Amino acid sequence: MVKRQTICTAAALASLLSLAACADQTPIVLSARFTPPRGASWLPADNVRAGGRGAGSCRIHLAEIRDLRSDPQSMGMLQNRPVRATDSISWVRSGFDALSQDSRIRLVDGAAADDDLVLRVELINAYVMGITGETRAVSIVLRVRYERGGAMLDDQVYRGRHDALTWGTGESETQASFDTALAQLLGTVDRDIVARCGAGLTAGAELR
Amino acid sequence: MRSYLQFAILLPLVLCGACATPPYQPLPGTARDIISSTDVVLPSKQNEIYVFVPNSNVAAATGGGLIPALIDAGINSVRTSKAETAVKPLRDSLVDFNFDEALGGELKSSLSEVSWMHVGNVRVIKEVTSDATDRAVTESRAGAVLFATPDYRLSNDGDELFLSVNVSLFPNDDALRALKGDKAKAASSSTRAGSKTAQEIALYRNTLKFKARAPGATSDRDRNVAAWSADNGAAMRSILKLGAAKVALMLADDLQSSPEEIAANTKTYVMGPGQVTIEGITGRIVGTDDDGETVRLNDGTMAFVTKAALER
Repeated sequence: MVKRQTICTAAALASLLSLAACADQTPIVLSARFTPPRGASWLPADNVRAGGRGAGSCRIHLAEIRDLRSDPQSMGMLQNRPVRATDSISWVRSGFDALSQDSRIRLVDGAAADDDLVLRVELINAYVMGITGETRAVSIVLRVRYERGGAMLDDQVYRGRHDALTWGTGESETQASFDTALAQLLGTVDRDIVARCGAGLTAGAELR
Repeated sequence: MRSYLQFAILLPLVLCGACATPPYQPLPGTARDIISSTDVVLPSKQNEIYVFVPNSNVAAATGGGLIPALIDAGINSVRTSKAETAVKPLRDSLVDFNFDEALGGELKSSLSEVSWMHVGNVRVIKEVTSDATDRAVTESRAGAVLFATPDYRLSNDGDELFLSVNVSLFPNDDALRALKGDKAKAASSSTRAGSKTAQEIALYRNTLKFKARAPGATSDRDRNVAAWSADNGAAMRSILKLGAAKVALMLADDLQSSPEEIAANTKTYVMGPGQVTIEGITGRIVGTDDDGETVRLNDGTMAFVTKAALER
């Protein structure tokens, strides 16, 4: 009898809490720092090895990051809660900074040398949305313009995404989804950077 | 104990039900004479098209419990992942397409033809909360603020596009508030979230829908998405623009309905020539053009259905 009473009380509380959760419109605020997803190798493992003849030979100059969205603070909605960026540009920049984990890539500051690969990044989309009552999907879309020696090489559009079950409504799992989607996208950017750096790499360092 | 449990489970449903308002509320004729100006706001939380994913109902079918609920969560997770993967080519083909801008432009154009609305600014807000919509009213200098909240998605098979726009017109000056009585007057000075955009003080309310089929639609989602995505998303761009235009036209027409038309619009249509059923709601065809049919549904809402979608 006591057990039944406990179950009923729990069900009643869960029911009322679900109503409260629907009404809760407290914003979920995302960090301005990219944190690579735990337990997942977001760069191909063979690219991250230390040293080697090509280590640091791919010099990257991150010239500009722009957020082209109409509302740079908005990162979508999840369970009626707005999701907001503290600083979307800093978040993307810290993601690109993490590319230096690839031993072949060296991010350089200051004026770009003629041989440096110059990147101009545009944030086109970044959002989370609920797909069913308990699932969420994050999408991030960036355009990267590649330049060298003052001349445009080409531009590419990249998409990273992550979908998962939403167990709670906390910031941590939403943040993790955004970081995972950005990491997925950066894995492709990493490959393209290295391909465009081909001339600056020794043959032994060309992995793909 | 059992009644206690039933009460606890039913209470949220009853509370939600109490808040429900009819989807259609015609504009009072007197409002047309006193609307000094109208700003249009698009509360659009959506950034890209998505595939509708039906919720798994194992728990409901088996009477509830933790294990069925976990099975539902697992099924929904797999369905979400597959749907998000399937829609990626279409999203990639539409990267430079801004549906908010397309709809905003069409609304501006169509509503400008309704002279007594005196349409002013059209703006998009991406954060859709009661605070944000209230703020949009407070920040507007217009006498009325019209909200048009869009949602566009593919069916689960990807063979149909659905666009729906929930429209509400709120008073923002004393003359229009007077039409809605004490509630609207109280809302003007209230700081409670959602008070200025509570549905019960809307001067006008409707839901406008648009339905179209994929070129050469099949039951294969990947093939349908490929058809929508081909040639840089040409079919989807074209149909989304058409949908925005038709919704804007339906809105302008509905706002200008005569009292006789309003009476007919709110009358239940039973059976007869021109009967159409859309998403389970019966209605009658009230207009036809080269693209398809305009339908007034029995709940007062309106839909435009392309010829290909009607032939189903």
